[in-house]
Amino acid sequence: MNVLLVLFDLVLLAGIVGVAWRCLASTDLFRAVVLFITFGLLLALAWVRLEAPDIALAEAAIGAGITGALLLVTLERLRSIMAERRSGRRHTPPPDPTGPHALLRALHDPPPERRTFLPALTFALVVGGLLVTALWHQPQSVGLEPVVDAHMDISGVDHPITAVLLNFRAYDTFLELAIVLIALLGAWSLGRHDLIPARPAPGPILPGTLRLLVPVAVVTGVYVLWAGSHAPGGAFQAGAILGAAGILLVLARPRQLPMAPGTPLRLGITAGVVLFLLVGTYGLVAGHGFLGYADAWAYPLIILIEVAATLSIALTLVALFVAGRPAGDDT
Amino acid sequence: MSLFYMAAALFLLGTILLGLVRVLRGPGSGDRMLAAQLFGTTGVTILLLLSLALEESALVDVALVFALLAVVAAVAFVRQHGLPEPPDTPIHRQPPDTPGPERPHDDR
Repeated sequence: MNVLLVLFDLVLLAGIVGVAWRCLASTDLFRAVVLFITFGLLLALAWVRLEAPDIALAEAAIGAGITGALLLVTLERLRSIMAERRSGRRHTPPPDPTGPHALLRALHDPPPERRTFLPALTFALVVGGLLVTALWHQPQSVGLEPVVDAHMDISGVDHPITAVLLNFRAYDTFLELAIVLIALLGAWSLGRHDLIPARPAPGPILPGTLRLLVPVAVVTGVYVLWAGSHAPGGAFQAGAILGAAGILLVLARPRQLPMAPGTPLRLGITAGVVLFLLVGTYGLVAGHGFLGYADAWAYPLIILIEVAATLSIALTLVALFVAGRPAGDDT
Repeated sequence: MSLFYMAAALFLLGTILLGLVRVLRGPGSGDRMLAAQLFGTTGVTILLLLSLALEESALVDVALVFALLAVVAAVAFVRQHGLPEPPDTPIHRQPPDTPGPERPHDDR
């Protein structure tokens, strides 16, 4: 059994390194995207072997579901930009002058430098050396597991990861939510929503699949959110699953996206951060410290924050997939 | 019995690495995408086998999420390659005589 486990780990490691190398070295972008999807799968297996099922769950939702679709659509957008440049004609609706196309052109206009090889090699060697040194001098420690276990009874939940994320180190989670929000603001500041490249897919298979899958995905998302209090799961994973369901809906009718209502959309996107901040400030006022909870209120507050965070993350992921501010919303 | 599960998981991992040949060689986009989709199916099986072998029930949830969401990439792919395009459109492969700056990933 142990020999098999070691063998499994070695094969998995070889696969991850090999796929990552081929993905980075690939000159065919489509092949690189497919290799990246495979990389996500292998990485999820690696997280499982590292005994981190929570991260494996997040990697499964993000890696299998969202990044693949995001990269494929981005590749198609890139192709239409390139075709437009080659032929001198416009194949797409005229882009926003400040839009993502302008940024791409700015990135591509200077020809790639050949002299960067030596600095890049030096940089890689220095960083690699530092990493090896850091790993060499790892201090012997039992980690924080005993400390977390000793305080589980006041955390309000039964799953140690959720206790750390939403109670003991809530500050980190709060900042992570803020980063997700800032990423969306960055994407929105680049321009308005542009049509998603999509060809007609005739036949009943695509709509039928989506009609079956989207409700199941929503139920699974809610289940994963609920499981977070006692088992691997939680807001990020649930948000990613619900976001993937939203992306499926977007892909189902890319030409007939409903006009996003400005104010409710913004409220939903900021709900996680705002609620977290309100609860945290209340803790400060009530004397539990910033982002601290009274022991008796820990469970309901954690659930409340997780629900809001799930909603925000799901909406943000769909908005990032659609890319750009909603059309007709320039205030 | 867990020995058998682990051996089966190892075998399936080997089939993924073998299937990478199809992703690397192609030749068509469909071949590559289909290989990745089959990896997803194999990954679900590996996760289920691991959950039995390591006795970790949480891995079933990971497998569920994988089985559910692997289709998203496939739907995106179908949307980009829905109807067969005319044979002369160079959509999958850029023409080899394109000048340098337009192919930023091919500078070596």
